Amino acid sequence: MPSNYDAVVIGAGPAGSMAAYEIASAGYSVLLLEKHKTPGTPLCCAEAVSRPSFERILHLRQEWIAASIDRVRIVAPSGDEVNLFSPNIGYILERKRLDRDLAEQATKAGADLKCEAIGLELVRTGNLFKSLKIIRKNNQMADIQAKIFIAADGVESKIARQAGFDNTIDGGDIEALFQYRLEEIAIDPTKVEFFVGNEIAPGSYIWVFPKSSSSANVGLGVSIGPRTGKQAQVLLQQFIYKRFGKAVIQETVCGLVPRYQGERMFQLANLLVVGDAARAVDSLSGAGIVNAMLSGKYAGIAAAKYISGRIENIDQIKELYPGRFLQEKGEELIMYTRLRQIYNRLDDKDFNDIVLALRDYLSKNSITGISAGKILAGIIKTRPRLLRLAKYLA
Amino acid sequence: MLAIDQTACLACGGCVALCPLDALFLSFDTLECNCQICNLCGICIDFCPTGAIEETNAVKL
Repeated sequence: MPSNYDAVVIGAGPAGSMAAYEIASAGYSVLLLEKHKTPGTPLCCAEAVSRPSFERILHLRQEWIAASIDRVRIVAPSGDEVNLFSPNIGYILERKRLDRDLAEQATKAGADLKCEAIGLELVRTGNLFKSLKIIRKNNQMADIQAKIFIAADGVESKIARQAGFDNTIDGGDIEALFQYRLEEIAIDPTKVEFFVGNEIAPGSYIWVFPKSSSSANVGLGVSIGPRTGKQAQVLLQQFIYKRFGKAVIQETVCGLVPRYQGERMFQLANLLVVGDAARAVDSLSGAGIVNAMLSGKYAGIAAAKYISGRIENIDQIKELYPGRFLQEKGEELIMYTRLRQIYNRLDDKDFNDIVLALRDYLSKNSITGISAGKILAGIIKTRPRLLRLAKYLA
Repeated sequence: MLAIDQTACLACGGCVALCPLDALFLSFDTLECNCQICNLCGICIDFCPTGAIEETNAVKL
């Protein structure tokens, strides 16, 4: 393996592979490191994406899609529900396949993918990071020099932390995710379901995302407190028993959902941070795939420009990255963070009210192209109990 | 010290992100703990959705 590249990308998930692809396509050498045996494993994802936002970045291939969604059902603690119909609203993906293909797209463009290789430590000389110490499965160590580095190493991003980002996750506003892939169930493959309430999923919700007419990702998030993880498992099993009766658990998935932490997480000198590592996550739903891909893409484009020498001072890279990414997604990420603050304050009566108010709202209004914040603002007005939440929307 | 049940651990990395002392790390597909740094705060135990992390009195020789 050469010890000198134009760029090194740490992590071959959707964010890292997109970044490596952009750099390689521009004609520069890029090393793409993946800690695990193959890209796409282990799965830490519920696999849902919204169609318009995904397709703005990449043309979707059939083999990445497990199910096409055009119905959303939200069930309140009271059992009242609201049903939305919106053709092609989103997809449930085959993440393992998507990750593998995105990494392959990068290698086909010329990126050098090395699996079972961990980025350990960035070494700084003066203002810039100059090299990365890596270790491979056979315990072989190496120092890789590059002009620019991209941290795409996920929620636990050791590289960003080691380089000087304070990315410690603390406080109560974090969520453990626990999910089963169920087989041998009967399910509508065009409908996703959400079950909200503080008993069913304290601080979060349960999702049912179909992967076919007989299988689904069924999971929940729980705010972390004493023995949360255990509680998540018990709650999920209770739910599955009630909702499906008998089911076969094919795969267990777990993880931590980070929350958006603002602009400070994205760039430090010639280190660009992307995806979950940058906390580029919709804090309300926990969705991160599209933001990961988009941040990776823009970071890759910015890196290529920096390598070409067209950016003289590293500080100017900010305009390209995270500048372009935040220009497109920044407001949305902030809005979802606000909505999450509201969500955290809801009790079961609020959930019941919101579901009923949403039902009324949908009978009178079309929601095509309207943001979640606007819809919430619209329904808050119709329920005096909910008016107290309005201040968090400002 | 912490005991990690490697058969239960799915290597999701959530506990690694939460660890305030950077004691936990993923060595390829395996979760490991640097017990000299760990102060048994327990946030990883609270978090772990598969119950793969436990506190134990056993000392590794």
